[in-house]
Amino acid sequence: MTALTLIKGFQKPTHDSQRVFRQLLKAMSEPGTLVRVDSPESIDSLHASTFAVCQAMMDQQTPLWLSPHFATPNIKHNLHFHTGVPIVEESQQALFALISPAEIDSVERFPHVFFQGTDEYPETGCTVIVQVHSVKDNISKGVNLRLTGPGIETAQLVSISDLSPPLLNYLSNQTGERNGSFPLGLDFIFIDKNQLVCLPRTTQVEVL
Amino acid sequence: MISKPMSDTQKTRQHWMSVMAKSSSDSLIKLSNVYMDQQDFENIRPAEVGLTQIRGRMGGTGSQFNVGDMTITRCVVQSAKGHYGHSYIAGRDKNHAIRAAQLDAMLQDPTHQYSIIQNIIQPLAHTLATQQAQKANNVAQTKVNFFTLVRGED
Repeated sequence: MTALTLIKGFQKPTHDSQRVFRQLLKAMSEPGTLVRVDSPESIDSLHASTFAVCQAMMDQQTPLWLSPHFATPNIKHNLHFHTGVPIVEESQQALFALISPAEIDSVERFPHVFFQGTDEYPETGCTVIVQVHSVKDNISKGVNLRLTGPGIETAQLVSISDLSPPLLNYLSNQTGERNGSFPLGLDFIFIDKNQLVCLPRTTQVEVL
Repeated sequence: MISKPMSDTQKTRQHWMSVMAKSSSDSLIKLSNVYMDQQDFENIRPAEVGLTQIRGRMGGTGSQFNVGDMTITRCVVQSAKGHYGHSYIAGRDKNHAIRAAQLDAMLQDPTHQYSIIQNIIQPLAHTLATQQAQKANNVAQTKVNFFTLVRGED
């Protein structure tokens, strides 16, 4: 058995997690706004930024589902060590999911593979954290999205790399099920090495 | 859960962790100061204070019950050589937890192990044993034995 590596967590756990939480709150309430998050170290394919979000948001009561890309012994060990988060095999039971965009194509029954909440408690729907190569708040080579809806004064433009057609079709409501199932649904966090952008279920997405 | 029997390395480590946790913060830090020059540690988990529930058994062997909550401080560091040092101590003395974790990491390193055991762990263990014996002696002086006389025909 090879020994597992432990990485450094937040050095001032209270202040650091409050700072990341505040950044996430801003990004969630003003969709399309980019915010920066950081943690001292990364491990395997998990960025330090993604690890920061995990440390700020997760604890014993927030089951997490890891896609095969992230389900390595080192990542599981560190997430569990630093947050105590239970890692579940069944994605329907998860409040948070961590996935890479390439894998969304291969996930069967997307988006129904994730729990979308119930009519009584729609807020219990899964928050999907997608770790991408880059997110930008201007038009660039990646997929460009025009966002409108609550929290946005007129419209926001964001550019997110690596998004695949099935995910884009879902986000832009091509199939009608994203808006059709409202208030049930999934909230997304797209995160690159330094910054993140959120697409809550209320945000209307247009692919440019 | 079936737990495997502990190896000798685990038992030795358990012993030094236990001695460092039970000893007074002052004496641990005073004894170990000379070892701390030129040592470099990374904070994997900075010292943090929390609560744990302690459980006991009635009469030591009976069914379990909750004794109460107790404050503990825990800390994890990594030494420059890559050893992970863990500590869990009673109370809220972060310096005690940090030093115990640092020494736990150093004790896993063969270059320091013998000397630290000789100069820190053994004296502390001796002090603990003396205190324990003294306390047991004080308590024994006030010990009362209860006798129940058998009554009736049964």
